[in-house]
Amino acid sequence: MWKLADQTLSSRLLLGSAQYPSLQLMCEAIVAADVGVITVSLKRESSKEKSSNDFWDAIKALNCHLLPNTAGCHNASDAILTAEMAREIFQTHWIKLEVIGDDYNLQPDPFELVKAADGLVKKGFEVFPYCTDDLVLCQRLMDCGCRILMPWAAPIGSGKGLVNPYALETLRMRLPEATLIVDAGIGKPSHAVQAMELGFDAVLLNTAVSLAQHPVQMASAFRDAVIAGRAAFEAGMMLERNIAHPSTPLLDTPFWHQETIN
Amino acid sequence: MITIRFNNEAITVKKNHLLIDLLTENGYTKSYYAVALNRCFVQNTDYATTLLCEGDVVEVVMPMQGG
Repeated sequence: MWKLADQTLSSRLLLGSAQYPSLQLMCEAIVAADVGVITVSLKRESSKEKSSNDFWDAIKALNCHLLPNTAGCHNASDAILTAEMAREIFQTHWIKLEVIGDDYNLQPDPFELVKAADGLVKKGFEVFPYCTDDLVLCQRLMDCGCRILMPWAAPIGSGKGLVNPYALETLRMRLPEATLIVDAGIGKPSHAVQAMELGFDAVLLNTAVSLAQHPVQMASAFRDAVIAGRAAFEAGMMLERNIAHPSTPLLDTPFWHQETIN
Repeated sequence: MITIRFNNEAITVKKNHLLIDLLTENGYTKSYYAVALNRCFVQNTDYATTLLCEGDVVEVVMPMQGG
């Protein structure tokens, strides 16, 4: 068990709810991943086409904590407005704060992000900022009152894995009190293992599962990967060495081997 | 009558129309939506006291899948 903001959770995997081939597969994948937190979003209604309630009904039935996002926002004021609407709909003060600065790689705008985080913390939100792996940006977000940081591994949906492990490792080392969640860019379970082995508290992903050929099977793979990575971190990994060391003790090896050695 | 924009469409409503009436007339009776008026959040407790004015922009947002 671990603590995420004001909640105690068993799973260290957070899963997105977008881009699944069907609502049914989304639900099955979420169940297979055994997650406690699902990310959701908001959309504007069109007067021509009313939304159905299917998604909302399905999400409620899963009985997970909901983490709404501010996807599509490019400035602090839009993000704050979206967060306020999300709080009312989803009845949660958690918000995954996304403020995009560049549409090519969906890189967060660090300046607007800090401004939005500051405003939202003052309004009583638990802010989960989606940010880059820049140490100083992360420090500024913590200065605003963010207890949780969600640096990218790589651009959203790219599946490239941990592009800059050094930067992520530095965040873990320099911000030991922060809850660190790798968000975005994870493409395969080995990437999740790598993040967890670095000591990250959790991993948030979506596309790697939803666009897999078999999303439910992939969800199970990520569930196991996050467990394995965390267990390895807690177990304490051996230090890498440059020279070989025999795994089998040479003392008392049969005499003919010793003759060869001598 | 006054003209407002509702979910990105121009419509006319009677003067002194309340936000709650606009929402009810358009089928928004359950709780899983939120409303922005002129890009400002309106709490659901304020729907019944919010009067619509000429040129107002009302947007309803709903839950959807997200990553």
